Amino acid sequence: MAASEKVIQLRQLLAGKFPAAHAARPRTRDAFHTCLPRLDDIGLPKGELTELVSEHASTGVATLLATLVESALRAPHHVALIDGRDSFDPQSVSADACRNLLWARCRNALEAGKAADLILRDGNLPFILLDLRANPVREVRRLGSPVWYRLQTLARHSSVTCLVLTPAKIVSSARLRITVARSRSLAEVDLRRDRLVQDLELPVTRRRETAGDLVANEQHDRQVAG
Amino acid sequence: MFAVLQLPNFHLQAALRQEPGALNGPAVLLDEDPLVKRSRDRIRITQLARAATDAGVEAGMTATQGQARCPGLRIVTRSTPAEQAAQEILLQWAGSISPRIESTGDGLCTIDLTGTRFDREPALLGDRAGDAFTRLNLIVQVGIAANPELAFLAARFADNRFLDGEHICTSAAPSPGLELREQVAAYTPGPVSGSSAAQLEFGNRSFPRAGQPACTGSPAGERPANRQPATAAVRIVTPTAGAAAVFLAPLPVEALSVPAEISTVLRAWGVRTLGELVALPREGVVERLGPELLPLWRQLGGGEPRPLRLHRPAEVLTEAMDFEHHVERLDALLFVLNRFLHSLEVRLAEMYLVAESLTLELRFENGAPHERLFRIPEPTRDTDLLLRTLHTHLEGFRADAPIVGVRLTAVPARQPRQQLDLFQPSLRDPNRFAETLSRLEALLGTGRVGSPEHLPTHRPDAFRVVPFDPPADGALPGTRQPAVRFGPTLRRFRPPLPATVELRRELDAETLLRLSAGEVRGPIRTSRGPWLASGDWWDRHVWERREWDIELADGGLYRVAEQQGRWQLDGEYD
Repeated sequence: MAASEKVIQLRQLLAGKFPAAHAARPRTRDAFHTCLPRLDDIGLPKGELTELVSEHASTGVATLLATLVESALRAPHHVALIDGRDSFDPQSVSADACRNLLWARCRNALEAGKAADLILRDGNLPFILLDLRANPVREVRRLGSPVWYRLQTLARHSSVTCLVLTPAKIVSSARLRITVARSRSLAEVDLRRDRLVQDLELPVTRRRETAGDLVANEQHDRQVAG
Repeated sequence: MFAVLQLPNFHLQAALRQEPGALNGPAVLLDEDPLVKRSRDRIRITQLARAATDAGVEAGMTATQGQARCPGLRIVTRSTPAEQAAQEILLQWAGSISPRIESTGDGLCTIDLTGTRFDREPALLGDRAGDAFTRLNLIVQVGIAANPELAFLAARFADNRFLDGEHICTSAAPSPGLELREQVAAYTPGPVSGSSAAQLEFGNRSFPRAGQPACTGSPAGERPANRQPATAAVRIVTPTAGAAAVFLAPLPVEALSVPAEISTVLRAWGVRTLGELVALPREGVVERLGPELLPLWRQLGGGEPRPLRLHRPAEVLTEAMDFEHHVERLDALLFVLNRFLHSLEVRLAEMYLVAESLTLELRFENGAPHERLFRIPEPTRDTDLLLRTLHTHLEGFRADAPIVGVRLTAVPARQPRQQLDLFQPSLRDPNRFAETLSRLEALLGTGRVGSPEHLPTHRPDAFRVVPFDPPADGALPGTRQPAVRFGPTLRRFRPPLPATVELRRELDAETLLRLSAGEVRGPIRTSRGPWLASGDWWDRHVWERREWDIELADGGLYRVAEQQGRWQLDGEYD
């Protein structure tokens, strides 16, 4: 028996014995580790823009954002939050998480776009949250596709993962788009926050595969099927 | 052994230090000449570069007379900040050679070489000084001898020319000074040979012979093909028997800074050289000229060295300039700052240090000062990087008046050596990151970039923004457990939106019916509250409020509050 066949058999054996360890494998080749299982299952592509769309009020994206800031301590990595309308509440995260956070308090989407350009160009922080969810849709649309493609290029160049929170499907260059639809009710206010995040429905509504991803996914599927 | 460093034509050199090559052109310094009695005529040319001398300009002339002789004459005046910076450079460089140094005067520094490698190999000092001061656009003369007085004379008569032709003429004016120079030139006919060579050494071996035409000078930055490494003019008087006497023999008595009366008496006696003075019997000198001359006489005779008045060099490096023409444009200011940083880079490199922080001080025509401290996250002496830091700040800076002076101060530190940790987050390029933060602050404004910090109060939305400075001892993966938190996060409206709330009162209960706050409006489906909160009752900023969590008919969750009879929408639960 050839050595490669033995390796394949070993992988199949392990996949059979520990299915959970293999099921959660991200589909993208190089995913950013956020320490948040809900997002790590999806796999935020490293060096790419990911758009998180929240078209309705109170869908829970700000809670997800605060949890991401908190979990950055465990990853560990520094995180930048570009706050498109200065709406982040520091009381929603711990003091330690605050010290690990670079918070850019912008007045509008245009400022946020410029700030994102600077931070992506810098490349020192591996994870950037660009929160435009509170900005009017018209204002965010006014940024235009060139801005998003420029940010995409910068992210790729500096290997920075950027999660963009928007009030509508706007980021044309996003490699991954997740749409959050369900609003919460007042009864959920008393639930633990980790439970709220766990209950979030995060369907991937768009995934642009690169040629490398297609090859990797094909190999992965072949191994699982084999 | 002692060494004396002298910056000839100190005031002129200091004024032109930030202009490489300016000393190769016809440049002179205008200053008050104490020999002129009428105060209104007292401003005369006191120091001049070689090219100005070649053009016929002489010390003691007025500016008009000088320009009549040389139409392209560059005239500068003294600059106190520039002189302080030049003196500081001299002393700090000397401090890097030995801790025992003395600030002997303007452009003069005495170094006790005892215990240093230069005590055994004094010729190396000239090479090192020449290299360093050439890069700092300064010309230095070095004298080394057994005691400070002899070293001072050796430095003063060490000549003033470099191998590559970058030079200025020696000490200013007085015509006696010119006389001295000629005598020295006659005394130093190139490489010494024979019996004298055993006692005298010359660092500069290309002195022109007496009567040789004055040096021609080469344009700034233009180097002859056979250029040798820059070196200072050095004269070493070895501590062997008779060396001092041979050195002093041709030097005029005026080389000593003795009172005019004594000088007159010596001339009347026919004593014209220091060699003749030292040859006088000790008792006769004391008896006729007084005991004041005895220590000097003893020193010249090779006696025990006097103790130095020890000086501690400044711990910061400063470059400063007063502008002749006020600066109104950023590019002009950056040009000067670039020169400053180049100079600081050389000075730091000489001390094997880097800059830990920079302080930029600007003075404006209207008297308003501006001072800004720049901490360098990863200390460096890289000019480009430091200039970018200053540039980023100045780009967003506006002033009401033109700039009349600038000062840049660097705090030196040792090069940091740090082992990075695999499991701790770190910045790839801290200096670039600091620059990015500056740009962000310029874009968004002060207090809008950084890390939030909680304040010790229950007042809603109480926080402040501090500079982003994450702790170096970051947590290891998986070791830090976040505190358990409940409920969704509040997305705040800053400032809170004024709101109108319709409510129904039933006995002691209130039911909220409808909300209207900007674009957020609609019937209220459910509400919870009120939650009472108050604080700072001991202060004039006392606050008290009632809060409700509400759910609108469209599904949005919000927090509304009633404070002092007014309703406001704090934010959206998201």
